[in-house]
Amino acid sequence: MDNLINAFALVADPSVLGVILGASIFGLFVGAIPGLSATMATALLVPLTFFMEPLPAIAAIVSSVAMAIFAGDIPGAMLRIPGTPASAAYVDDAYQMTLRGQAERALGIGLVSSVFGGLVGAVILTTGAPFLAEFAFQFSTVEYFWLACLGLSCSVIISRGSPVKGLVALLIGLFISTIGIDVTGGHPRFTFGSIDLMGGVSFIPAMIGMFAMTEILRFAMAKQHNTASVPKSSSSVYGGQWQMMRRNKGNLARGSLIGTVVGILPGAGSDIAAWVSYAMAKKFSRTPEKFGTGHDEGLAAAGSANNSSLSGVWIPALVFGIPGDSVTAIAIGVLFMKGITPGPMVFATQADLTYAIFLTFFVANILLLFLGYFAIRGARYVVQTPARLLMPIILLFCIVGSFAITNSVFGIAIMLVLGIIGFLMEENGFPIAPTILGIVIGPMLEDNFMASVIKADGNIIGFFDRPVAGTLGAITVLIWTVPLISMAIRAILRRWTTAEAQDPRS
Amino acid sequence: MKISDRLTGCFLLVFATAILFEASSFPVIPGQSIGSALLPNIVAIGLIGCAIILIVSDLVGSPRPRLAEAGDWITDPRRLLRVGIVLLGTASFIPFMDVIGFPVLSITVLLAFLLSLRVDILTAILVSVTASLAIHTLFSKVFLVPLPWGVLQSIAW
Repeated sequence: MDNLINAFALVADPSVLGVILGASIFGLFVGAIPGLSATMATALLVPLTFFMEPLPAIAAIVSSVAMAIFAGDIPGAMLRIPGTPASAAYVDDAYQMTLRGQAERALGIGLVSSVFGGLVGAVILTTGAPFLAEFAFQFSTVEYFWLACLGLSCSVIISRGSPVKGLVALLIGLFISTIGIDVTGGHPRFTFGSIDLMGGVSFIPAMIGMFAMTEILRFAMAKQHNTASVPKSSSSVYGGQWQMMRRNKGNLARGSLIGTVVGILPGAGSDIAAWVSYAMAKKFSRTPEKFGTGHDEGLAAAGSANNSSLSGVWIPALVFGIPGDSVTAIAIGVLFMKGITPGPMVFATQADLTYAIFLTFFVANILLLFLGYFAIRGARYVVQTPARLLMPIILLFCIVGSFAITNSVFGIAIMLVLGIIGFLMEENGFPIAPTILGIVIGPMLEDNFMASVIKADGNIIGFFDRPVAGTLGAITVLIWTVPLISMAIRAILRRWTTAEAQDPRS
Repeated sequence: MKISDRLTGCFLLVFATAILFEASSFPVIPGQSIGSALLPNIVAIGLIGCAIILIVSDLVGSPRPRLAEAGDWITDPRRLLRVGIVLLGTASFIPFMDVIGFPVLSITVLLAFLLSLRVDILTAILVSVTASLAIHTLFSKVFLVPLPWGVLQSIAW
């Protein structure tokens, strides 16, 4: 209880509240611009958080992402272009409402659902994470090794497209994490005599390059950059939302729970939460045929899911130090820079800070209810902000942000190189998120593996002889082998069926 | 820019071999059989496995895609110019930021990028000067990042 009171005092600090407000407005703006994602908002914000205390730094990330995920609904409803991938699931419903002159109502449903989902997720985070942390106190390096493996494996399996390409992306991230002095052996790896590379590849320029530079390159290659036109609308933002909530209480509750659970799964983010929740709402609906035609059920379910997942991803991130998505990977990197190692110990040694981080989720979501109104009212102008003026400024911000981390142009070089690599990867179906997770989790994976091997004296049984370690290890091995076994069985069955079809006696 | 999976696979094979070669010189931890080379070796072996799958599946699949396609932007001078400005403009900060200074370099790159996007000259000048000076002031005065003034050192504030 004392921790909670101290946490209130920390969050109530005017400078923290000011940062939350500023980051919220920034998140709303970035999320509302088509093509700029919540991850990009975080990437652009991180150079600023470098100069803040830990709490305002994390509060800035939490609030900007919560706002950006909601604001992604705005261009979705106005232009049928989801501002962030998390809004893609219900973009047709929102746009159909806009065509009927109900843009504000559609966005109001998204706003209220987002706030509801965000608050439910924050409650689960605040109550569930400390329990899990108690449990995680018993973990040794072996459990952390398996958790890191599990997180990385899930990021590959859940990533869109080919799992092989997801694995390549992860391996590239792990390789990047090995560059620099090896902490265990004290030997420089892949530095080729460069002093700059001795400290490793700084993850902030890497992330700015992979998320922001890729977008700028894609923009530079695009044929046209037209300013979009928005259909006229004259509905109310808050009008009728109470009735909508009562009508959709099942969808809101289910969406919020699905969102939080999907968020906890490593690798699954708010976009997957929204798609799963939308599909579930359609399955349980009495009028599934109305989905996609401007119906509020899918909007409420998926809108609550994508914001509640934002709290869910913080559970493994804070309790185990395993980020569930790109944003928490960035946030964990920020915490590391501030000298804070996420894990069960922070709940004991930094309890005030941990609870203060939880409180920022409540503050951000309540603030969203009010700021969201103004964002919706001003949406018409925001979505029409010419990208040809914004993108060059974002490029400059990326350059300065990369420089600011080490006060050296080496950061700009990292940003540029990884921006080009990230662009080529995305263009050819290689997801970027596993690479970022690899860069962040790589050192933790290696440290825990080396410590475990030394403790077990090289005996593999040492990785399975504790109950939790054995379970996590078995799950991880199953995740690796089941797709291979099912592929082999399918291939054998296909060959068998073909052979039978060609057999003249049959 | 589309690169076929077989070409990507070949590149990954070369890259993984280079990792294995470089990692072979890494020392082991005293008293253990493993050391600094372990993770790089695992990464390299994983990349070799993935590369073989990518190459084989691309060769077996039909129709087989072209080895590499640059995309239609490469034949459009304006878009090619824009990509050039983004890449070379960013790269120019690496050797020239200390000499020329951040303000002049950023105004130049920003102005070139804006003009390539067909922003009218007055707006482009206004945006590039305002944005450069605002970002410079924010980072150098508020966050105390030593952004070099370069040739404008005499008027630094």
